[in-house]
Amino acid sequence: MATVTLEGVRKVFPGKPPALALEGLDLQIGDGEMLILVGPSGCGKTTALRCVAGLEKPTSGRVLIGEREVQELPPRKRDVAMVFQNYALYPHLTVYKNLAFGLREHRVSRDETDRRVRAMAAMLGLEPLLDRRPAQLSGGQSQRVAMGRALVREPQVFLLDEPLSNLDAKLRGQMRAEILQLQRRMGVTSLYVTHDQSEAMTLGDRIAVLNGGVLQQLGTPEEVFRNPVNLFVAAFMGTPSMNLLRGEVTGGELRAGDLALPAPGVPDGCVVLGFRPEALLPAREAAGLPQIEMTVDLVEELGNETLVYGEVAGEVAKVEIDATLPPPLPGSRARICARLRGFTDVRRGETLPLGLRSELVHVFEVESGAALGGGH
Amino acid sequence: MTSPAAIAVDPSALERELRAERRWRPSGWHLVLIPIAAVMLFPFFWLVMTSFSTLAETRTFPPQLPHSLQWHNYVDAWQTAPFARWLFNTTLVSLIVVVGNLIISTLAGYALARVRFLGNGALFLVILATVMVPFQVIMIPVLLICRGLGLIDTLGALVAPNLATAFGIFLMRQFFKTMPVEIEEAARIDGAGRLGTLVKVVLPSMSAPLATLAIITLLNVWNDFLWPLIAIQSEPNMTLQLGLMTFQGAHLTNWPVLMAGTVTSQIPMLVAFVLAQRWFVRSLASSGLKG
Amino acid sequence: MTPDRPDEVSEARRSRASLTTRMLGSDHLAGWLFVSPAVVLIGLFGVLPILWSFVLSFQQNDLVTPGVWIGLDNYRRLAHDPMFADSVRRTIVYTLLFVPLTLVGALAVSVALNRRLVGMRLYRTAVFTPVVTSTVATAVIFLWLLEPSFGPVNAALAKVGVAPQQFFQSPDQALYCIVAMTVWGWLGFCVIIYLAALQGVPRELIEAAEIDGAGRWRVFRRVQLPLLGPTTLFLVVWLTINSLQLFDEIYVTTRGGPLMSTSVVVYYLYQQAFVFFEAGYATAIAYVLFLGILVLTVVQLVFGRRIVHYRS
Repeated sequence: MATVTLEGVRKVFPGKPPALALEGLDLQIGDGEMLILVGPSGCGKTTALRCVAGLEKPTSGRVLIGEREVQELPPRKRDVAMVFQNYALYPHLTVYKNLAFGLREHRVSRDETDRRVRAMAAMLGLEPLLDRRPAQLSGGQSQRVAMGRALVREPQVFLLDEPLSNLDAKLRGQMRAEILQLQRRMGVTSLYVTHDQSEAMTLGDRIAVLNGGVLQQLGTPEEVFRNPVNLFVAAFMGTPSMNLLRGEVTGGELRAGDLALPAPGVPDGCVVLGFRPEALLPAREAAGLPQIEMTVDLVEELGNETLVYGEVAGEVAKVEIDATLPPPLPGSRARICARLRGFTDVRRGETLPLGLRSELVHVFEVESGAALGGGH
Repeated sequence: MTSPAAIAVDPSALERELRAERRWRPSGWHLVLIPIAAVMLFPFFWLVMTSFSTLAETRTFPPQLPHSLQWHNYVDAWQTAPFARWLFNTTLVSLIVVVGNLIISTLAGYALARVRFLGNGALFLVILATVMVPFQVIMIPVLLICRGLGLIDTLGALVAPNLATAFGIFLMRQFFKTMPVEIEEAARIDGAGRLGTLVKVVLPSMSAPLATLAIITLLNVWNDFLWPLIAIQSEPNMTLQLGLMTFQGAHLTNWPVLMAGTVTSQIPMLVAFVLAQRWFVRSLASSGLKG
Repeated sequence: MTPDRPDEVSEARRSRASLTTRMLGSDHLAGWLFVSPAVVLIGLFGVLPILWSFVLSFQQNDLVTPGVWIGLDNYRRLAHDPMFADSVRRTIVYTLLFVPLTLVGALAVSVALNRRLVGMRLYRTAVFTPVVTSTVATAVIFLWLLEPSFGPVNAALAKVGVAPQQFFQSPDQALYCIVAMTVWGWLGFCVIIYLAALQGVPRELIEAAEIDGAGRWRVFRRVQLPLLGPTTLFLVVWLTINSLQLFDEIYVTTRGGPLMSTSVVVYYLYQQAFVFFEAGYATAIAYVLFLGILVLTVVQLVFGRRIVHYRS
């Protein structure tokens, strides 16, 4: 067990033109912690993982496992183990031999190997499968073998590269819980890469959000969700995603569409107003709150909650901000989402008055996307 | 920790960074690969060098490289043997056989793979069985058949038995089997007949297997020796390889001229290979993977 | 030209396009139509000769006068023919040398070629080129390379103090020269196949093995090599079939000599048919060869499949 540190890790891939995959990443994973690297495709999360694994060498920067500098070492000298997205099970070996492979490579005795393989198989429910070949396994079984193969070595660091993305939704939920349990039980320092932000929220002790090779925010799931430091993080985390409206601040007041909110300390100029679907309440429960009127377009009844989509006055803001855009035009319509509790009797085409809980509102600067205030 | 969502990067700065990272260290594998390449290429090298030597130079020991290029060896070779005629023969035969095979094997392969007709299974088994039988078993009867058809000592004898090969039909049938049926079914619903479907819908996406069949057939026909040996007697009707052997018989110790003749006979294939190496390699590789 | 009524046009199109099928009635006819050229050719030059050959092997036939039925005499003669037995022995010796040498050599070379290196394209071209040279040309080239008095190989040997060898002119060495020549000629083909197979091993498997603690050699030995099993089996079968049919190189270089030391089965067969005009006898030899190839192939496949599946 050990900590993992990335210091100023930069990775440039050769090509015409060369591609910058990671821009000076600094990250520290505590002993026994499960850190999730999350972001859209191409954000550099897999590259970062592979740098820790030793499958890529950073262009500059250091990678440390514990106190050891490992960026020059090949994977087999690092005492790390990895679960691949496509499992990468050895097709010509039985499940038993797949599990035993790493132990045999590290010269563990046959008896000891047998003991550990069987123990791991028991822990993962793989005992009846030990004599099968990977071709005969289902997706979930393959995934468990892949995990078993990694963990049976009791590595210092456990790496996971989108291990659940090849599974169907139901299995994914099941395996998520299993992975969490397993990691807690073994207490191994883990780095988990995913593009699915809900997976990140449920699994991680801490989340690192990446975009374009740059670390956007590092924090607990709650921190990242409640206090996104910039527009990208705000829009990326949460499903359905945060509603973003273009607004303008004049003299400490923010106007976006029909909304008017106080914005103390925010300098004048164009901004982006963000609020999550759950920040909206039906008007009758929202006395005294800033009001907004929605023309309902789509109602999704999910049982415990209802998602209502519709148009309000205002202009939608995109995450990729163009700072040269003029202030929002009056009369434009923006499509937003409101998350209401239980069932509602709202119908398509109706006008739904909503109240906005202003303490849950976020304001973002237009040029850099940085958060200016709001949220808790 | 806040940072902008994306940074504008300067490609040339990145290039500089990459170059700084990669310290120039030539790989040790060159020490292994150079001798291997040398062993593989040395026979060609010596072939060409000898073809430019004088007779006297080839009669010295230890052998030396030629002092000047004796182009007349090539002229001699060209004049004492009908290389041009042999080249023509071989090219004509190869062309007809390759095109013939492509058409016939494709039609047959398609029918065997897709069309449900009486005897489909049995026919395929018979064809498969013929693949297993080595040429030496059938060569005498084929000779007799060609004699009966009056093809002996003509190019026809080289074309007819090779116009359709069981192997080619097998290859095409296997390729057709791997194609999804849906596209063809859609075409048939749209009203295309069997032939129309084949030509307009299936064929365009089969350039790889067609190329494979073409190249393998070409190599086999171009370099074939045993069959031309027994089917062709007169010099003007010989193929390049058969002709080369005859040439060798006539110039046993005249190594420079012999080598010049050999170079001449191999140039067409070598040039084709250099130009289309990727196609050759891909074809041979896929034939192996199918096996 | 826009149609006024679209259904009219498609109706016409339908009736035109499937005219063949409709007129002739069914898939059966279409199917046979498609295969008929192939059937005629394979029938005439494939099936008929196989059957004819079989009959021929029970005859005494000089290809000029009509054949005489002699029953199993040809086969009986084969069983007691010392020259045939010798040719079989030589063919087997050749095969036992040629196949492993080519296979191991090709495997080693393909491993060397399976990496990204400056100039790799040139190295690969160098290894592949012999594939397109004909057997005749290869034979002629090697006759010259191994020329006892003036060839470069003897010159090189002389430099290291070895006496000049007789190579193709020595009854003891000729067959081995043939081995060397054919290994050179076939290596490229096997490398092409092996290289394709090596490149077919998913990169992730190699990475997983590296992470699991295997060094380069262990990765090769425990992951890549076993996955090359089916390819190796295919090559063993293919090379064996080809080496049992060795002929061209013998004809061009040694004509079975010196002193019959390179007379392999197919060369013996050729002589019987076209030098001694014993076509019946030659055909019997061909059938025995066929049987041998068949049995050997089946044995190789049966044992090979078992090894390929249970290896680890």
